[in-house]
Amino acid sequence: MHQAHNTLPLSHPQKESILKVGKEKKFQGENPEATSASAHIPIGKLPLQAEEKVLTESQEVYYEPTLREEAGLWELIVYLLNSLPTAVVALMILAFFAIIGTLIPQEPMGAETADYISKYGPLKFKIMKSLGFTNIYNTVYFNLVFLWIAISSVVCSITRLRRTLSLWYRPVYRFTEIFFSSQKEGYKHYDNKDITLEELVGSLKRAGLRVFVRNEEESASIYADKCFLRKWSAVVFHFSIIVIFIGGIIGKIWGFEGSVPVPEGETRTLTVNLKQIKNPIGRALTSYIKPYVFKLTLKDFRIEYDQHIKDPDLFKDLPVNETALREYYKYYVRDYVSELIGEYKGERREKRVLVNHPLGVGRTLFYQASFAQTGYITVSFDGREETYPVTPNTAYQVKPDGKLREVTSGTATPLGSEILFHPEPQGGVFPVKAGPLFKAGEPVGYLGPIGLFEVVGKTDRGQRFVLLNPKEWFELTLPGHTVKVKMADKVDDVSIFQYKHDPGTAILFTGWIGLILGVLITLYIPFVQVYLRWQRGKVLCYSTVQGAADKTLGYQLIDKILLKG
Amino acid sequence: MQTSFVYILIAYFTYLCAFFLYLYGITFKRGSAVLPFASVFLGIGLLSQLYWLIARTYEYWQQHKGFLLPATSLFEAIHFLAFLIILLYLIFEIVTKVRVFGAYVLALVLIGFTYLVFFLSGESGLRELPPALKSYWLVIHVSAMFISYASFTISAAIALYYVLKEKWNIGVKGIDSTFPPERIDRLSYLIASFGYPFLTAGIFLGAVWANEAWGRYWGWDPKETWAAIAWFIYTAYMHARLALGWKGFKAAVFNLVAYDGIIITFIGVNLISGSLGAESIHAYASGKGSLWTLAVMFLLLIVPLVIAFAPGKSRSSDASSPQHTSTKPSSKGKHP
Ligand code: HEM
Repeated sequence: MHQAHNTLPLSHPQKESILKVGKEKKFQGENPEATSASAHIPIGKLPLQAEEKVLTESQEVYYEPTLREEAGLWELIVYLLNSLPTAVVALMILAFFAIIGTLIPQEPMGAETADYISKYGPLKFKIMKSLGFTNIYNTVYFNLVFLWIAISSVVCSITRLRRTLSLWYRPVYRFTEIFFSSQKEGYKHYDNKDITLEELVGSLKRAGLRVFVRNEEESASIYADKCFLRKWSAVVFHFSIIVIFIGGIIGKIWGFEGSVPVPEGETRTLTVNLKQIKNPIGRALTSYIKPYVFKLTLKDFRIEYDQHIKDPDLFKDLPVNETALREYYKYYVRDYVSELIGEYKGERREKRVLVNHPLGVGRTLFYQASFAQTGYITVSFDGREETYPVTPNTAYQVKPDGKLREVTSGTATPLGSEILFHPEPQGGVFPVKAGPLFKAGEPVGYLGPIGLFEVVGKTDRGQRFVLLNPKEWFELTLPGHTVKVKMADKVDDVSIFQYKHDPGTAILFTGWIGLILGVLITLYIPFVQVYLRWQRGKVLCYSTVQGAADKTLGYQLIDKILLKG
Repeated sequence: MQTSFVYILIAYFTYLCAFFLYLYGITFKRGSAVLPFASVFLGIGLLSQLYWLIARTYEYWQQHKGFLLPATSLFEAIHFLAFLIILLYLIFEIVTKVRVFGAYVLALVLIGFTYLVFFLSGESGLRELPPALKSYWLVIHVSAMFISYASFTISAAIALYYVLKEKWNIGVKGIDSTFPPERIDRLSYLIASFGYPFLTAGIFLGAVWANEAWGRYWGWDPKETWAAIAWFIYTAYMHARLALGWKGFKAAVFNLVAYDGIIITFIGVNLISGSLGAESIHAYASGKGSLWTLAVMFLLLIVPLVIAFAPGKSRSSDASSPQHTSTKPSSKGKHP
């Protein structure tokens, strides 16, 4: 029972606890023999086993699991899952892999083999690809590390749950003076206090603490704590990690996504057959699911424009004479508006789909993702008018026969007109703009269509921009002919919808909310523990605080009770 | 006229004044008397920034007929973060009555302001916004993220002081005479632990928004990914502190490493992503990465780590387990 320590008992309390707690030795509550013996232990000698346990735990000794030397593989894995340093390392490994993913363009984000080869060369690309670095977030090893952390988090919180439970049910043992004197951080000693046990307990309870008392002859041990909620929440949110992981996996297996273009005024049928898009495991798990068939009708699609009421910054860099560009940049996209009808198995939903406002049908969401707005120009050649579609990032020229033709750098003829280059759209800015026009959020009419072209002269190399509209003709030079161009009224709008079916989202979000609430409670609400020994005329007090708070919170509380007089 | 730049200059000037007052306050004997004045200067600068924020919000309102948080361009983002750092720092001063770390916290704010005034002033104007940004989620998500950045900044500044003191014995009397290292260590931790739930929530709110705007809650966009990386590192830091008992020097170094994650998330992704070909969907991700700004960022990332890891003498070999000085374990508890 009494171990043979001499002078300074528990000078290394942590080490001992590692053995005791780690092996989960069955702890026998209050051993009657021990209790009676302890009454006579003088200060400076050893505390009892029971006391020692409370002592070590009360000192925030960090639980560390132990491993038998002859342990097998399974035991090793469980040990590692239970070990916090391993979890911390796993977190750092996950961070490291994620960093790789931000340094190398990723396939799911649109990087293609050609991009890699031009950037890294074929050999490096091959190595990177075989290591999975070009699609790292979908590699087995990345997900295994994540899974490891999730399981480890659960294992850790379960093994530590036992300690939490013992604290919940049986927190009070006999706290002798040694218990207090061997606290590394010291304790408090209140002399000449004529407070009765009942008064003390009553005050603690009034202060909102859970109080446990153990009466001894002429004295008592008291344990009290506040905000035990914090302990529970730490257990709960460690489970959240695996809930999040499960949510993500469910989405990966049973979910699907993609995009579908729907031209204005038309109906498209979208068929999603999981058999075609899943890997073998996914296929096996979803083989019972019939293909999803959606019918999408785009009643109307428009791009709404607003205009700057003050000159935007980019005008500062524009020469004043670039009136076309200035006019063109004045208008910017306010919103993309699709009047969309979605049908799925007799369910019919109609909604005005905007960015941030998707349409849900058949537990699948359709988002406004992309769009195309292409224009037409009308060419008047000696009075004869003809209309042609123009696509972005393409150059055109009116040939001597009066036809508008696409040209590449080699095919422009000196006999034709100037070259009209239709620039590429960038970041929500299209070379053609057409749609309802607003000013500071108020509708003011209709814009365009206006089309931006760069005019490249045949002789001089000067370039300038012109903004065509349907009202004014723009003259081109072609010796012997009168050639004029303008925008045609017609514009083709195609709305592109991103769709996503993800039955795991709700689970994942639930886990995440649990995580946040748990973290909030754990970090913001302090858990205060007070250990007291009451004797006639004297009170010993030791207190700990976990969480973001003043470490002396517990002492302040006792001060208030005992020093108020 | 765009929102007046004068208010930015006023804030810059008052923060400079506050910086020198804080420096004076901690280096000179009896200097601490000026510390409250430094706080007053901070307060004035903060009001000036607040005015700019309100005016800019009003301009957005006029333009878009909607409430928008002015944190959508690199300029606005740095401005808003500086605002939150000062705001949190002042609250921290009021709550803890600790005034001595002002100069350390301000150093980074001043670097930010210098960048705004001398490099980004041309981009201070109103921008046109992609429709996806016009959402109340912008306010919620960005505020949560930035509050966490701000608290991690304050925490890292204090951790840097700790590291400088422990390893190189570079400290100032005004701090060392009143603050035992344990207290500095703990302050740094407490502020980080204040920010951690905000980071957790901020990432989640971003995911909810992304789910609404793009139909996916997570897309491994570089900025998203870096926020996650920073979160992983801070989670590891929290565990090292709470469950492995790390304290002192080791923990301070860990804090600085984790803070690098924040620097990259906040600004590094914008500056680097272009050159790496990994485009980000995030709002102010189009900032220009001139050689100068990149150099400053790399210095910010690396200097604290060099200070921490360079071979040098540690003041106390066992810095990781400081003893309480107030109540010694050997001496019997005293009558309070
Ligand atoms: C990535 C997911 C994780 C998050 C967000 C997380 C978060 C936290 C937080 C905020 C605390 C402080 C709670 C406290 O002081 O009581 C904590 C404590 C702790 N965590 Fe985690 N954790 C995660 C994963 C893990 C894993 C994988 C393990 C196990 C290997 C683990 C084991 C622990 C332990 C043992 C504590 C101390 C609990 C205590 O003091 O009662 N955690 N965790």
